[in-house]
Amino acid sequence: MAKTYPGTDHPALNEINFTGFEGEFIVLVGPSGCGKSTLIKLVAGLETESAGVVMRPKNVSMVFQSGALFPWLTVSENVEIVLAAKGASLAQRRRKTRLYLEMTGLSDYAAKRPRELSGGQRQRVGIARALAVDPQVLVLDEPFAALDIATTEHLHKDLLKIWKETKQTILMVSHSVEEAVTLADRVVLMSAGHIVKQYELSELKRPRREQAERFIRDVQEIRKDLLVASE
Amino acid sequence: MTKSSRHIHHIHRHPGYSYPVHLHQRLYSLVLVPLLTIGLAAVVFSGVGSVGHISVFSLLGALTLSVIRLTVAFGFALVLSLPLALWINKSPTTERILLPTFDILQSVPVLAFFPVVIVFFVKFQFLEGAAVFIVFINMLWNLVFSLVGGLRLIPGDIKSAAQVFGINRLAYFRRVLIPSVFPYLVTGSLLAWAEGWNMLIVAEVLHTYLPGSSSSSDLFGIGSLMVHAASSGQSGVFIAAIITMIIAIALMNFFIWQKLLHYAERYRFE
Repeated sequence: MAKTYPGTDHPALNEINFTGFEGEFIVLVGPSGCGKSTLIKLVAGLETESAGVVMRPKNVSMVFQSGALFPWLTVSENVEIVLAAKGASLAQRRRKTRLYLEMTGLSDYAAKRPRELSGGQRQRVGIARALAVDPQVLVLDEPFAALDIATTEHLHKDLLKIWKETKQTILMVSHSVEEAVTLADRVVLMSAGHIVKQYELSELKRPRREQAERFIRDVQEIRKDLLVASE
Repeated sequence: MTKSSRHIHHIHRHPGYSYPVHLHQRLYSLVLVPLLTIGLAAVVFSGVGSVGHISVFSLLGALTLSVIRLTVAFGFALVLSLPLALWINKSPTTERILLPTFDILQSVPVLAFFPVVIVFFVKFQFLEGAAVFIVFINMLWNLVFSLVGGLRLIPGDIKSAAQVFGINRLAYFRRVLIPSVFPYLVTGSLLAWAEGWNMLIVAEVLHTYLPGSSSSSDLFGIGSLMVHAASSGQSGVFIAAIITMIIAIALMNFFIWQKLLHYAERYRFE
């Protein structure tokens, strides 16, 4: 599969052959402009491929770096609006909204508006909204990039907990190798529109400790390859 | 204390959001409106129930008619502005063609073709239409360009979220697009009304644009009242009319625009 944006000669993605398995947690890493965001946009149906075929899952949902919450709606309304778009009844909308706000620890914030929340809480709303539609694939575009370390670590734990509970397939973009090794079953390294290398980490036990020898070794290996890919 | 917070006098709290009320806004309502009302009362009572050759009821009647003209013109401008803004925003090509076109149209002085507009409406014996039309045209551009700005500023992620979650066109329009541009609609409306009040003075005095006509062809309203009073040397009427107009503008500003501007804050993207 390849993707070239109109008005450009250089393909954003080229010769991409990539399969995600059910229930797998995949993290894409790579230097800026390597095509990570383009790849997830293709999976989410926000872009169309220029060549080849993308076998998109029927129901994909997405968590955005900015949160992409509607500021005029309350937390629960931000979740309900996407359920309404999927044709859920009022009772279903209320039930699912309550369920996913509880799962993401936002029950007490249901009536608040996004601007009244912290960055971490906003991302939780984004995650709750994305999960509420029962997606086959959950796509996350650098969801923790703008958050502080403590909040990020907390959200990592929560995301893994949710992933275990929901058994969803997750495709996430990250600029942090540590984050990728902390979360992923498989880390995909991209560079200049290509997939350079894939790292199988599913046998690495969770929770993964940053001080563990294997963790450090994996991070170092990916980081070394990333530096080469960035040159 | 930061520079902006120094000017904030009080914070209004509403469920779910808060907005600052600046000191000058309080002064505006507490000082300006009462001061002008006292001024108007002084002018009115000096004429014992009438100001020059006009009664207080006529003064308020003139104001009412003018406000109705402005409201009708604003209604038409509001209805037409959104489709025009959406048309401009439809694609880079439409924007490239329509934006400069509308910019040129906006720059053409409305009064230059006002005589043609009047002649057209005279044919149908509908002079009110001429006044409303000229105010409408002036209001329209403020709304269109404000909305175009608002549409441009809808974040890409918000559009992508609507697409990913399958929000259909009608729901997108109603629940995403309109709220997204609401703050710009409010500022555009505020400017449109300011332009409307300005234009009213000309729009109601039609005889100057109608060959061989007298002031009897003018439309009764606060604008024409001011012009006639000024030209006939009735300074009492002129002062009363101008104070009435300022009070109306100040009250509208305080009770409608300031409230809408504050309310619109909850619709702004951060």
